[in-house]
Amino acid sequence: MSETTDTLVFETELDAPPEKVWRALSIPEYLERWLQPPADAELSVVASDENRSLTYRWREPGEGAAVAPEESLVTFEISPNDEGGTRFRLTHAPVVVPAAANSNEPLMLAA
Amino acid sequence: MNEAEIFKVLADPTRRAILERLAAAELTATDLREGFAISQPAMSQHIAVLKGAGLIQEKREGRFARYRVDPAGFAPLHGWLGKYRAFWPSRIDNLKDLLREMDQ
Repeated sequence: MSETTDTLVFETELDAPPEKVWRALSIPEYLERWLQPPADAELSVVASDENRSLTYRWREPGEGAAVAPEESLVTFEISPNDEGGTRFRLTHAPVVVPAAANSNEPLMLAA
Repeated sequence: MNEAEIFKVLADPTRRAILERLAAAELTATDLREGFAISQPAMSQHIAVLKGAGLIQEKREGRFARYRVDPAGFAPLHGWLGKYRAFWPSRIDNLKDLLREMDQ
């Protein structure tokens, strides 16, 4: 159902081998150069599988009015393609509270 | 309801499943419970949370209430999605430029 889809996925082919793409994704100086994160965004690595997959936790505090710190996960997946380049897949998904952790508390305080 | 709160509401797989079913049809609470292994009070609680979040609307018909998705409630979610849907393509272009500049 499109209305509840809250994950963004981008796929493209990159004209460089996975090892090189990996450096662009994992070395902070390179990452900053292309990603140009918003000034108050905080990134930290939460999962890393060299030359294959890398996940950052993306924190962007103080979005809008009275919003709790917004956290999301950005995952890069890379694999070699037939042309010596890289198949690149980016997934950006909000961090959601596991259902088991919140099912017993009254969530809705304001209508 | 801000986007962080909406994501919390949507974090529950049962609530997501409820929304998916309501997207297809207006249903009563009894209809909704079919196929879910949850109690009537639990279903009522989920409905209350979704209603409170503005994600579903209730329509009273005598003793019964029918529920349907309220698209307006998803606006903050669309805001988040819209922001990053615009953000990433330009960054991916930057990445392609950087890869051309980097040493092997």
